[in-house]
Amino acid sequence: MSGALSDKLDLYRLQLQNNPESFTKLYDKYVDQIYRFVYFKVATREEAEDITSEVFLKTWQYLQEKKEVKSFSGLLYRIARNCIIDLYRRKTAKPEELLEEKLAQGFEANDAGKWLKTEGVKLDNERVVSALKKLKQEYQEVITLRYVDELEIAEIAEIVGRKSIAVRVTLHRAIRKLKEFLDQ
Amino acid sequence: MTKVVVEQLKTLKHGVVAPRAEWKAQNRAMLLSQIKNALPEKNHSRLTEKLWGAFAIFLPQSVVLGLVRPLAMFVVVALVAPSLYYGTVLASQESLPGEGMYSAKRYTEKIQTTVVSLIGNQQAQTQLHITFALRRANETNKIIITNDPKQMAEASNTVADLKNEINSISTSLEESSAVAVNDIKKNTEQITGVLQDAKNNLLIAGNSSTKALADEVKATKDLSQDVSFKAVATLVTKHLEGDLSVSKADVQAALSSAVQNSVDAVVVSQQNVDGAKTILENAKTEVKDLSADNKQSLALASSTKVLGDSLTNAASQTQVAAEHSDAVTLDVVKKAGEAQLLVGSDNLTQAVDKIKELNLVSKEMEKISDTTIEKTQNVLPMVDAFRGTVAGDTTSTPSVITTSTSGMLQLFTTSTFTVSGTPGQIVSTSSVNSTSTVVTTTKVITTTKK
Repeated sequence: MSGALSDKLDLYRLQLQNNPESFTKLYDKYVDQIYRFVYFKVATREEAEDITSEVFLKTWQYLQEKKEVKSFSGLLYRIARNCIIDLYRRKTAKPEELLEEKLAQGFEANDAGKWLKTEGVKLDNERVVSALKKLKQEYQEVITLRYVDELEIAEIAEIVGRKSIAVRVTLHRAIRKLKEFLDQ
Repeated sequence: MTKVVVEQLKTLKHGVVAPRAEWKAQNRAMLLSQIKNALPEKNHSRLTEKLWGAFAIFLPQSVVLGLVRPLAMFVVVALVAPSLYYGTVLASQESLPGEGMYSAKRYTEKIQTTVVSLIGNQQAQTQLHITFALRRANETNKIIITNDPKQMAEASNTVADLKNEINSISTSLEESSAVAVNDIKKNTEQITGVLQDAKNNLLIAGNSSTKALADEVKATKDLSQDVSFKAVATLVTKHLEGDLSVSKADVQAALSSAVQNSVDAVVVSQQNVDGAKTILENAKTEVKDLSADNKQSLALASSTKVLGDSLTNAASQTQVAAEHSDAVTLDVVKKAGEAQLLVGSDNLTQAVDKIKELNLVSKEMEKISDTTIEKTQNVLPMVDAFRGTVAGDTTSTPSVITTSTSGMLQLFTTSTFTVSGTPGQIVSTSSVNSTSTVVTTTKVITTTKK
C-alpha cells in the first residue's frame, strides 16, 4: 500500500471510526521528519521538540474540524511552517530573543550545536548543518524537504504553497548557495 | 560536488538530526491521552455521513464536488424525480376541477396531446380525445354528486371542455378505421350514459341555480348521443364499402346495442314521468288528509286551496304526460323490434334509419320527462311549506308518504317498469345501484330464424 493511501486509511479510521491508535500510527510515521524540518529553523532542540509537539496537536485539532486533507504529510508540514512563523513573531516581539541574534551566535554556541557534538555527529554533518542554518528560510525548507526528507517536488510545492517549477528553481539556487557556504 | 552535498544531506536523515527517543514516547503518550479525552465514546454518525466522510478522505475535494456529488445527485434525481412525477400524476388523476392537483392533471394531458400531435398519429390523437372526454364526463358527474360550491363553479368549464373533445372525436370519424369508429361508438355511448346520470342528478336535486348547468349537460349529452349515432352510421357505411376490419357480427352487435340504448333512454324517461305522477298523487292525498285533520284552522284554509289547485293542475299535466309516454314507449318498443329484425335480416342501412327515428323519439321522451320533473319540483316546496305550517298548528304527524325532494329521488330511482311481450317486443326492468343511478336492463325479444 502506498504511503498516501495508508495515511488516508488511518485518517478514515480516525475520523469515522474514532480510532485514536490511527493518529499515533501517523505520529510514529512522521514525527522524525517534522522534527528535522523544525530543527533546522529553530535555535534549540527544546524549541524543536515543543514545536513538533504543537504541530501534532494542531493537526489533531484540524482533523477534528473535518476539513479537507489532500495529503496528511503536506498538512503536517504546513502546520509546522505556521508554528515556526508564530515562533519567529513571538521572538520579534521580544528583541532580546531575536532570531538573528541567536543565529549570530553561531551554531556551535547554541544548545543544538552542543547536543550535536554530544551525540558524536560527524564533522562533515556538522558543517552541512551549520551551512544549512546559514541559508535563508526558503532555501533551508526546500533542501531539507527534498534531500533530507526525500519528498517529491509536487509534495514540496504543496507544502510551501508554490508551483512545482518554482520549487525546482528555488531548489537549484538553494543547493548552489549551500555549496558556496560549504566551500567557504 | 552537488552530488556529494546531496549525499551529505541524506545522511542527516539517519540519526544525526533526530528527536530523542524518550521525548518521542512521552509526546506520543500525551497525544494519545488528549485524543482519547476528546473523542466521543460512540460513533453515532449515519451511513450517509460515513459515506461522504470516506469520499472526502479518499478522493480530492474537486472530485467529490465536481463528480461524485453531481453523480450522486443525478442518481437521486433519477430515482426520485420519476417517482415524484408519477406520484403527482397518479394523485392528480383522481382530482376534480377546483382542486389543487387538477391543474397538474390538465397539464399532463396537454403534454400528452402535444407529444401525440408531434408524432402525427391520427388514431392516437382520437384515442386521447376519447380518454379525455370520458374523464371530463366522469368529472362532471362527480362534481354534481359532490355538490361542492367551489367545484360546481368549475362545472360549466368542464362541460365546455367535454363538448370540445366530443367535437374533435366527431371530426375524426370519417378518417378513422372501422375498428376505431366502433371504439368511438362504444365510448360515446358510455359518455352519454354518464351525462344522462349527471343531468338526472341535477334535475332531481331541483336546484334552480343549476338549471343552466343542467341545460349545458343535456346539450352535451345530446351531442354525444349524436356522435354515437354518427359512429354507427359511419361503421355501417365503411362495412358496406368493403372495410372488413370489423366483422359483420360486430357491426350487427353495434346496431343492436344502439337500438337497445334508445329503448333504455325511453324507458328511463317513462320511469321519471311515472315517478312524478306517483309523487304528485301522494302529495295530493297528504295535503287532503292534513287539511281534513285541521278544518278548524282558518289560517290553513286559503293555503290549502291554493296548494290543492296547484297540485291538481300539476297532477293533471303529469297524467297527460304519463299517458303520452306510455304511448310513445309502446311505439318505441314496436320500432325497436322492427330495427332488430332489420339488423337480423342484414338490412343494415334501413336499420340505421330506424335507429335515427328511435333517437328522435328518445329525445322527445326526454323532453317530456324533464318538463314533468320540473313541474313536480315547482310544487314540492309548497307541499313542504304546507306541512311545516300544519306541524306548527297541531302535533299530528303526517301519515302519508314523504314527498320531499329526497323522497322524490327515492321514488324516481325505485320505480320498476316492465314491458313483457312476444318476440319482437321489449322486456324492460329497472333497478337502482348504490349511487342512486338508474340502471336499466332492457331486452328486446327478437325472432331468430334458423
